[in-house]
Parts: sequence; structure tokens; C-alpha cells
Amino acid sequence: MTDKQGQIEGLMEAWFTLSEEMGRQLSQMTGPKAKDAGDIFGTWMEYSNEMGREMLELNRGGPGAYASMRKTWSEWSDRMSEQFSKASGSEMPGMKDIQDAWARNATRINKLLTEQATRQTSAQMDRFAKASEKQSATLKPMSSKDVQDMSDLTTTMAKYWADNYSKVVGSIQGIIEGEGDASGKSKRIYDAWSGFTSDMMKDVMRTAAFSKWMGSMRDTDLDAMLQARRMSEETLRAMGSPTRSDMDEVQKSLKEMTMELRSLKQSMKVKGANRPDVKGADSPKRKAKKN
Amino acid sequence: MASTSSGGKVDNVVGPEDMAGTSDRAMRALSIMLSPPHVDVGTTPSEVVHAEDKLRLLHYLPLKEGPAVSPPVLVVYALINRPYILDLQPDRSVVRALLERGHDVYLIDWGSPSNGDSSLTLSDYVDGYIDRCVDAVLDRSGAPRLTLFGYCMGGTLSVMYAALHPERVRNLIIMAAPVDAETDDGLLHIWSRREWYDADKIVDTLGNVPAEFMNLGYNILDPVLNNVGKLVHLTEIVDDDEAVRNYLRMEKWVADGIPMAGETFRQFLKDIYQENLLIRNRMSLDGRRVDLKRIDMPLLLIMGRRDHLVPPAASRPLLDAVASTDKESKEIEAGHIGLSVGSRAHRELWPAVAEWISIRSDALQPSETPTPGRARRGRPPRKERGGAVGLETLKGLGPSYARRLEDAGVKDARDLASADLEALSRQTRIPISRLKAWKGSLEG
Repeated sequence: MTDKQGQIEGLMEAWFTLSEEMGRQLSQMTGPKAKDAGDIFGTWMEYSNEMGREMLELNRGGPGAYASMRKTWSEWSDRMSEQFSKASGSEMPGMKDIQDAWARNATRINKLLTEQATRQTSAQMDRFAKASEKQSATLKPMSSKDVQDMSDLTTTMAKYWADNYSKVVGSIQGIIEGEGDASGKSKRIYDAWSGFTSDMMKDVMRTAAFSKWMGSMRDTDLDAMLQARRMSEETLRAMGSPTRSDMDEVQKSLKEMTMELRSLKQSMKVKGANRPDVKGADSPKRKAKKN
Repeated sequence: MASTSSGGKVDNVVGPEDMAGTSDRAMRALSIMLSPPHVDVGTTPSEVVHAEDKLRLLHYLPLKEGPAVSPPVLVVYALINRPYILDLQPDRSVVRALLERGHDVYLIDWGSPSNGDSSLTLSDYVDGYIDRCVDAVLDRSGAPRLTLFGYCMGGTLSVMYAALHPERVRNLIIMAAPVDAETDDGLLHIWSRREWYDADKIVDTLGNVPAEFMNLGYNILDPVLNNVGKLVHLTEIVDDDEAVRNYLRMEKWVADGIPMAGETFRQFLKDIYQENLLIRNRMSLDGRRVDLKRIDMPLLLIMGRRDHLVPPAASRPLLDAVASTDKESKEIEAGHIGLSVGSRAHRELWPAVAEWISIRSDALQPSETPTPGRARRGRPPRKERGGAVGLETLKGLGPSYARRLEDAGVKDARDLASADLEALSRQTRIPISRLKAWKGSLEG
């Protein structure tokens, strides 16, 4: 049996014990001062069914079952305490026993729920820690090959710069010293600079070094995105909320179903076209209408 | 693929003005860039004649009185950007250029895929969506076949479709479509090599591949022009309202990208760009081989000499790979987008393309005459019951199927009506479902 199953069974056992004791005690409370007992019984019944449903959901392993159950339990505890407090002066026989039964079992359920909450938080922290470790592992330092690629890239740029620098500087110098107004000159200087830079970039971007460097940057970025998504999905799952992947799966299933239906309709159309005897035949509905 | 550039070098250098004037224009240009005013795009009147999932099939209303040229033209654009680049503005609209010359034009607007569409494959697009759009166009127009016009990635999809369904395509026009990756002419071909481009990692991480992700790649193809040049260009034209509006229309289109379904991206990258399967005639879709030798209809290949996304070398080999005998190519001095919106293209290319289609068109039947401003509800050509009706009048039965049927002794519709379909299917290797559908349409 897993830890989780053990805890669920523990909770269920506590719940049934409480139900049994409370039921027995309440049924014995009769007599003229039974109004207080009636209030307690009403509150008990109000939440009892709900708790039963929560318990079943928990057993099924439904998302967010613990969180929902804690909430219901907390509300119920408050209401029951309130009723007991009102009935504290009552001299009705059995009242003390029922108060004791409630307190004893409620403490046990509280303890089990708290343990579970602690365990969940700690599991969540563990998952975060593992995910962070994994992410750190993917963000490894540059390998000697990466360094070589970067170096090749820089060398290519430097070579282009060295080969063309004097040409572009000469051209800009010529524009500055030549005829024309300042505004026209600035445009021509921009053209010279942008032409030079664009050509350099195009040459550099054709190299294997650039493609490798770009690929490596992209992969690192994608790795980080993937880790971030996994972590947020883990968190959402722990909170019992549906995640993006869950929603995507639902959407995909719907899409696939739509496509299946469409192809079914198409094949029926082809079959229908091939069966002129059936074509135009009365449907049972139409037949009934005729008759 | 989309260009990210709408700006560029302008030869008419700023006139005799002072620096203060330039600075004022630059500020106004910057302000336009930061909060661009609204501009209309895709204004040619159209109606939606078929819709499924995110897709809409648009039928453009005729601009001319009189009969439309048959067969109709179905335009298939890329899965990356919006197709209104083909109808960006009235004086630079490919759609209008065809309508003005009497063609009946349909266009597939793919819409934007959601996460639920991430598992769509090339087969879903080619054999599913495109095929059903062809159905819709043929049903509506009454034509037995159509002219398929694919642009960019839409061209690659159209090549696949024509290879799988040659009997439904009367003419094939392919513009700026990547079909051969064995070239170093374009940076995209270099960057997408499998040594450094991990398509699996991208799709497994992102699901659908966002437009921003792809735009980043296009942007760095020419970082100076796309990031600085645009502002400089706008500064120069900022006093010319019409030029600014044209500029903004292009910018709107560039920023209006759509994500690509993840599995389609993966397959396209691997099969087309990395393995080069299409031009090597080894591509298959859902187990069906895409045999380029089955493309035997007239083919027009259009390329832009300055196309840095899909250089001519990435398209040209298609001419030798197909079986068409009537085939030609047109190359003009234009970039990838200039082919559809450039003034040179609209002066030189599009009138010639419209003429190319007209020459290869079928005779128009009186019942196929569209009425301007009103939707034309086309019907399949009527057949004389029991008469010797030609096989090619049946929907989806083109010359290839007709040849196979004739070889098996089925010369006309009457022969088909009395044939043993199972035996005929074995003999002709035509799927029984198709034979049944044709026979059914005769009986209906």
C-alpha cells in the first residue's frame, strides 16, 4: 500500500468512526431538552453528506480533492463548535459524550489533514528542487567547441571589417568633404554605413559558425522555456488545477473527434451516392408522417 | 515565407533641407511607427462559400460583366502569414488583377490554428482542407477541374496536391515556393540544416510555432534594413500620405502573422528543408507517395530574382521534376513579397499570368456565366440520361483517370454505368469508392 493510500484509508476510518459515534449518540438524545441536540443534528446532517462526497472524490484521486475536503471540514468544524458551545449549558443526558466523541474524532481528522498538507508541500518543494537541478544541468557552461565556434565567428567579422574598413571610411570621408547640404550628406552616410554593415552581416550569417551559434542560443532558450513550463505545470497540478497540457489534450481530442466525424460523413456521402435505391427512401420518421 | 521588410534604400536622396527638417520628419516617422493609424487591407469584395474549423474559403465577386473564364482559380497561400498580401491594396492586388481579366477567383484563408490544431499534419492540409476546398470550388462553379495557384509554402502544398490529385487540376501555377533545399542561395536554407536546427526541440517545446518566433528569423535575414532601414525609409516618405498608407499596410501584414501547427512545421522542416524529400520524389503523405511525375498539367513557375527567402534555385528544379510538357517559368526582378505587391510585378507579371491562364482555359458553358455582384450557385454539368456522355464531364474525373478507363474499354458514361466496378477497379487501379461515386452521380 502506498503512503497516499494509507492516509486516505486513515482518514476514511476516522470519518466512519466519527459518523458511527455521532449517529449513536444523537439517536439516544431524546426528551424535553432535545432542541440543542436537534441543532447539532441539523448541522451534522448538513455537512455529513457533503463530507461523504468529498471522501469518495478523495478516494477516486480527483484533482484538488484534499484542498476541497479541507475547506469543507474547516467550515463544518466551525459550525459544530458553535453548536456545541450553544449547548454547553445543557443538562441533557449524553451531551457530554457526544461532545467528547466529536472532539476526539475531529482532532484525529484535523491531524490527518494537516499531515497530508505538510506532506504535499514538502513533495512540492522536492519537485521544485529537482526541476531546478535539472535546469541547472541543462544550462551547462560553454564547451571548448562552443568557444571555438564563437571564436570563428569573431574572426570572420574581424576579417570582413579589416578588408572593408578603409573602403567604407574612405567613402564616408568623401561624402563629408564633398558638395551638398548636411541633410543630404547624412542620408548618403547612412547608405554607405548600412550597405557596409548589411553586407558584413550577410557574409557572417552565411558561415557555419553563425548558424551553430544561433542554433545553440535558440536551444538554450527553448530549454529554459521548457523547464519553466514544467515547473508551472507541476505547481498547478499540485494545486489540483488543470494545466495547459491538460487543456491542450482536451482540445486535441475534440479536434480529432471532429475530424473523425467529418471523414465518416464523407465516406457515408460516397456510399450514399453509390446506392440510388436508398437515395430518397423514406426515413422511419418520414414514413410515420406519411401514414 | 514572409519578408519582414517593407522599407529599403530610397534613391532620391533628401533634397536641400536643413537638419532640423530631417529631425522633425524622423520624429513624425517614429510617432507613426509607435502608434500606426488604421489602414484597410483586403478590400476586394468577397463572400465565404465554405468554412470548416478555422478555415474560410473566399470567393471574390466578379468585377467584370460577362462570362468568367473557366476553370476557376483557387489560390493557396502559406500557413504562416495572412493571405491578404495578395489583395493588400486595390492597385497592387493579385486578386484584382485576375478578376479584372475575367477570372473566377477563390482563396483559402487558413485562419489561425489554436493549440488543439497542433497535431495537424501536411496530409491534413493537402488531402483534407485543400481537397475539400477544391470540392467546394468545383461544386460551385460546375467546372470539372480548376487552376491551382500556390504561393510560397502554399505553392509547396499545391505541388503536393497536384501530384496526388492530377485529375482535379487543369493548370498549376507555383510562385516562390520552396521545393528544393539543396541550395546555399538563401540564408533560411543554410540556417535550417539539421546540424544546427532542431525542429523536434522547437515543436516539443512550443507546440504550435508562434509567428513571433518565425518573424525573428526573417528579421535577422537583414537586420540593418529591417530594424533601422524601415525608420529611415519612413522618414523619407512621411510627407506623402499615400506612400505612408502603403507602408503601413505592409507593416500591418508583417505584424499580422499566424502560428503554424506544430506537427506541420516539424514535417515541413524535416521533409522539405532537411531531407529534401519532395524534389527527390521520395515524399509521402500518410503513406501515399507524392510522385512529381504525376504532375502532367500545364505548369507556370514564377520566381523573384531578389527573393532572399525562397531564391529561384529553391524553386527552379521543379520544372525538370514534373511530367508536364506544357511548362514555363517567369523570373522577374523582385523580392519574395514584391512578386505580389511590387509595381513591376503588376506592370509586367500579372497581366502575363492572367493571359497564360486564359490561353489554357476550357470553353465556357453558358450556365457557368457568373453575374457580377451576386453569388453564382454553380451546378455540375448536366448529363443526357442514357446518352454518350464524355467521361471527363464527371466531377473529379480528369484526363489521367479517363485514359486509364479508356484503356480498360470504358469510353463514355454509358460504359461506366454498365461496368462491373470491382473488376474495373482491379484493372485500372482506380479506387472502388471513386468509381462508385462517379457511377452514383450518373444514376442520380
